Amino acid sequence: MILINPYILQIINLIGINAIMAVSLNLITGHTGQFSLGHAGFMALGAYASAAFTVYLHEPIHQLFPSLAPVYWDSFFFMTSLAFGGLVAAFAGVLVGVPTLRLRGDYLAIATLGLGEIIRVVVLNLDFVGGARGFTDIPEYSNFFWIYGLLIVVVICMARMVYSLKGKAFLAVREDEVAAQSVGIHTTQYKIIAFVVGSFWAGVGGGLFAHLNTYLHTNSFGFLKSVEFVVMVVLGGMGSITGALSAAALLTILPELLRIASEWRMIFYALLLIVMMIVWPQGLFGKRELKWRFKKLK
Amino acid sequence: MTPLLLVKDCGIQFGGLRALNHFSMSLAVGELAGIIGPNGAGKTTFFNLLTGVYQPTEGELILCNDEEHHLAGLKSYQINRIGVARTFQNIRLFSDLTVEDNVLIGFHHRLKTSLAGTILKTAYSRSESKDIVRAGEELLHIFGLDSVRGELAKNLSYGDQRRLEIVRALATKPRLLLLDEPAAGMNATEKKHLIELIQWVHQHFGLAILLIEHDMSVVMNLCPRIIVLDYGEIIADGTPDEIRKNPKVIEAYLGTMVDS
Repeated sequence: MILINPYILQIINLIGINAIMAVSLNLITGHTGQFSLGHAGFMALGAYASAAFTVYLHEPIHQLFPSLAPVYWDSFFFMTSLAFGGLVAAFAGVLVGVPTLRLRGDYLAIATLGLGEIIRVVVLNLDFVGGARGFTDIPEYSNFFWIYGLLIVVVICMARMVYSLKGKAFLAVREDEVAAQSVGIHTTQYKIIAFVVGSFWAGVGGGLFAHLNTYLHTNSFGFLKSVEFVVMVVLGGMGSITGALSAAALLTILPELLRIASEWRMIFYALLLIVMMIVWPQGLFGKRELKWRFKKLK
Repeated sequence: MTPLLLVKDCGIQFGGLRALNHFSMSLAVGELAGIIGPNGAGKTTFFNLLTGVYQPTEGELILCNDEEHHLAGLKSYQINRIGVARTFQNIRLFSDLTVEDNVLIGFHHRLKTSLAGTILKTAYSRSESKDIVRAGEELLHIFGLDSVRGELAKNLSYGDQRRLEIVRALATKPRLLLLDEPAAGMNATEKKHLIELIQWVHQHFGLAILLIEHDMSVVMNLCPRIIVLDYGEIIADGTPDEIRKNPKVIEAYLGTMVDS
């Protein structure tokens, strides 16, 4: 790790976090077919919840277990903090999912879009997490191993869930809700499960992001961020885990490579996206997986 | 004969339109009956009532399967779980999934493993899914679909898609099977095969079957009992011969005689 310069390491870490975000959104949008434009909102919830947990509870909890060795203590504490961030996001997922998942297609997109913005604006007005100044002095706990370790966990969790016999219900909901109901699938329940599990991992991704950046501002979780995650899922191929991973990597690296184009950067970025969608309208992998890779995960 | 399905004075209203009116009938365990009637007579509406897609505005729907279930108020998936499966007028397969997956999804509500169990791959979840995959293979084999099991459902021929929809419905282990125009869009040979298939399913699985069909040759050959609907009401109920001679039926299909 020492050989890689910090800039490249930062990009590698961001790829990991974006991959967690893309794979978790892929469960909601790609596999279950529920179009969500609020994923950055859940990421923000996780990021702020987890950062607040670390900043405010580090001392009080440490005093409860003074005998723990610092190395184990920090890892254990960070894990708890990430889980807390994930749970807060998942809880918000339940609160929001139950009423909104009755909506379909466009309506759900608008509802989740509004939701993401609500979360952002509420956080912006919370003073104990910095408000409009941003949340500073978050300890830098995230590193390559945490990010990629959790990425592996999320990928295995998603792959086993969706490609199991039971998990085919998610795909059935995406393909045809009426038909899914007619064969005994409780479609609302599956939509909520997808939403909650997806939000949980978005929260964990947010927690990793908070402890990587050490600084949070609500501007990082705007509507465009949600759109970026949707683009990753669509470009990767709706419902392909390996596709979402590749697209997350591609879309994180691309803007960096385009830095040479200076002020033309975003124009090239947009053009490349258009070209990619023309060349691969089904996404990089369609609904399929990169097989050799998937078999290993199984 | 013990009744499986009891419909008592059912009605449904869409705005000013009464799609079904004082609708009463019963179906015995293991009975095979056809429902015919002109377009807009309320046949598919009746199926939609039975499967919870619509709720009746009045009357009762009772399924007597081990115990009495009132169908009104239940959701589609709940009705399927107590033993009613259906196919759709415009085929509704999971078209981007394989033939095998379509059938396996039919087994869904029989799975006892929780999602957490599948993620952890517990021994139980593995043995259970092995059993179900085997049961699915068997069904595909019985219906001659095992050669196309890896194909996407949307790539199947029309007749095969209809057949697959029936197989998927059977995978849910129903006591009552509702077929909505199974012969639509089929040619003569396919229709002949379909009649044999439905007869065979009826005997082999010991199901009660209700089917909606426009094709008279199919209904007359297949169903020992025929129910005729017109404007949301039952105008005749009897054997094919009785139906053929019934003046009300002739009127509904051909119109009234006009004195010249």
